[in-house]
Amino acid sequence: LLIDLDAMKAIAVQLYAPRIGQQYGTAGVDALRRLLPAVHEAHRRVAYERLSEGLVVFASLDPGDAPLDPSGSAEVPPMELTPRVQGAATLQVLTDNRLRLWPILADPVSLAERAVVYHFAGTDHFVLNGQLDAVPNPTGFPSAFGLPTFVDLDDALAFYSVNFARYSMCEILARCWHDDRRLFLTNKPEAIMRRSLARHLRSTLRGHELVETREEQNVDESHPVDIKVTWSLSNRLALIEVKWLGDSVNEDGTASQTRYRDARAREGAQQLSDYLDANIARAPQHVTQGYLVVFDARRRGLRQPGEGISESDARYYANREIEYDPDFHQIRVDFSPPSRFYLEPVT
Amino acid sequence: MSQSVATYDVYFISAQLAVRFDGAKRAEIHSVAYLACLLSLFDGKSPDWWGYGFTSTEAGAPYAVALDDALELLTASGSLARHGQLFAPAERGREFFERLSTLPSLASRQRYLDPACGVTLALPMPTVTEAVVNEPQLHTASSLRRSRPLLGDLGLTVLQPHFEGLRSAMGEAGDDPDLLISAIVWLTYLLERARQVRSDVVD
Repeated sequence: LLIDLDAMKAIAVQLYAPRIGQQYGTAGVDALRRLLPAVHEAHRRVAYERLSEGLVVFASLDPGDAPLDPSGSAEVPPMELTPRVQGAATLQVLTDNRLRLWPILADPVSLAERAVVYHFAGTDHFVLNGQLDAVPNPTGFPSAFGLPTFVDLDDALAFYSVNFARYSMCEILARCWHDDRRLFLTNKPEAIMRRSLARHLRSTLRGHELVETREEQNVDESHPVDIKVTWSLSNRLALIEVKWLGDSVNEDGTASQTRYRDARAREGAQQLSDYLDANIARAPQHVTQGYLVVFDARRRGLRQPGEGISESDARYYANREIEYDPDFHQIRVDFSPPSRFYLEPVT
Repeated sequence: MSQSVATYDVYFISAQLAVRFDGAKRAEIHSVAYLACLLSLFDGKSPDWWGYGFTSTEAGAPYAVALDDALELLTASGSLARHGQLFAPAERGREFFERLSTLPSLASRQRYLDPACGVTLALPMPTVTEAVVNEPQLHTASSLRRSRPLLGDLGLTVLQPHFEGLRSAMGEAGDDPDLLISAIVWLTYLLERARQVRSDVVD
C-alpha cells in the first residue's frame, strides 16, 4: 500500500484543522480542542431547522478573553441549548463544559481575530484567513459534526427511511428522480439508491469495519447482493438487498416498459433467501443476517413523463404495504423483516 | 504492568466516548486504543512503551487480549456498566479511575489517548474505526485474511513511510506536530484512499 504523499499534503493544506494550527499556532490548536466538543453538542442538541438563521461557535485564543459584550447573553450548560435556541445563536466556549449563549448571530469573521470560529449556515464553515471556509462533509447530513449514530443496523435503516428517503432529502438520492414532482424514476436508479444508503451507513453505523457495495463483492458470481456490512471484532455480517418499485424512464426520457410493483419486492425476498443459503457455504464462520430494503416509488395511473396525475393517485401507495409469500422473515431467523422506504411525491 | 495500563485505557476511552456518544462499543475501545498506540509510535515511542501488544483479526481489525481482559474485569467489578452493546463508567468506577490517573506512568498515556478520542469529534465517529482498519498493516492483514501480530519489525517498516509522509505534510509543524491535528490528517487521508478505491469500482 504505497503512500500518496501529494494527497496527504493536499489534505494538510486544505483541511480546517491543520490550517488552524498554521494560522493561530498552539493557542489555536488548544482553542480547537475546546471548540470541537461544543460544536458537537450544539448539533446534537439543536435541530438544523432551529438554526435557520445560522450558528456561530467560538473558542477564544486566550481562554479568559471575552470578545463579545455579554449583555443579552446567558451562561448555560449544553443541555439547555435545545429549548433556548430558535433561529440563530452565538456560543462562546467557557470552562467546565459551559457555554455563553447569545440569541443572535454574531459576525464570525470579526470574531476570528481573537478566536477560532465555527459557523453553520446550512453547511459547515470555519473562519480561516479572514474568510469563511467550507468544511468537507462526507455525510448526507447538513453538518459533519454531532451526527446521530446507531449501534443497530435496524435503527440506522429506520432513521434513513424517515429522514432521508421519504422526502428524498439526501442529495445523492434526489438524483434518482426524472421529474421535479418525483413521479418517474430516472433510468436505472438502483445504483443511486445503493450509494445513498451505503454512505448513510458508513457515516452513522458504529463499530463497522466495512460497508461494501455491490461491485466489490458477490455471494456468488450470478447473484450479487447490494450492500455488505462487516463489523470490527465480530463475526456478524449483514447482507442488504436493495430493490426499487415504481416507474422509471428510458435513457431517452420516455416511459420505460419496466414498471416494478409488489412482485419485484417478492422477487428480491426470494433472491435474498437464496443469497443467504449461498453465503452459509461461503462464509460458514460468520453469523449472517439478511435485510431486504425496498425503495417504494409506486404511483397510480402514470403514463408518460410530463403528464400529471392527481394527488390521491400520486400517494395511492403511501400506506399500502407489500405482502410477501413466502414471508421469509417468519420462517428463517437470518431474514430480518423487510424495510419499505416509501418515497413521497411532491404534491 | 500490561493489565493496569489496559485497565486505564479501557476506562479512559469508555469515559470519553460516554460523554459524547453514550458509551463505547467493544470494537471502538480496541480501535481507539490502537490509534493511541500508533500516535505514540509517531511521537517516537517504541512499541514496548505501550505496555501491551495488538494483533490483527482475520478480518483486519485491531485486537488486544489485555483490553478484553480489562473490559471484563471492569464490568465484573461494577466499575463499567454495560447498556446493550455500549460500555460506560459506573459511579463506583470513578474514584478508582481518579486514583489510577495520579500514577505518572499512566497519566503520560493521556498524551496519546486524548487525541485518539478527540478525533471522534472531528470526523464522523463511525468512520474512525473504518479509517483505522485502512492503516497499512491492517489493510495487508485484511487482504491476506490472516490473524497476525501488529507493530513487529515488518509492521513498523510498513508504517514508517506513512509517519514520514505525515511529518512532511505537516510542514513547519512537522518537527513537533500536534497529535490531534496529525491524527485528523492521517485518518482523513486513509478514508479518502479507501473512498478512491471504492469509487474506482463503483462509479
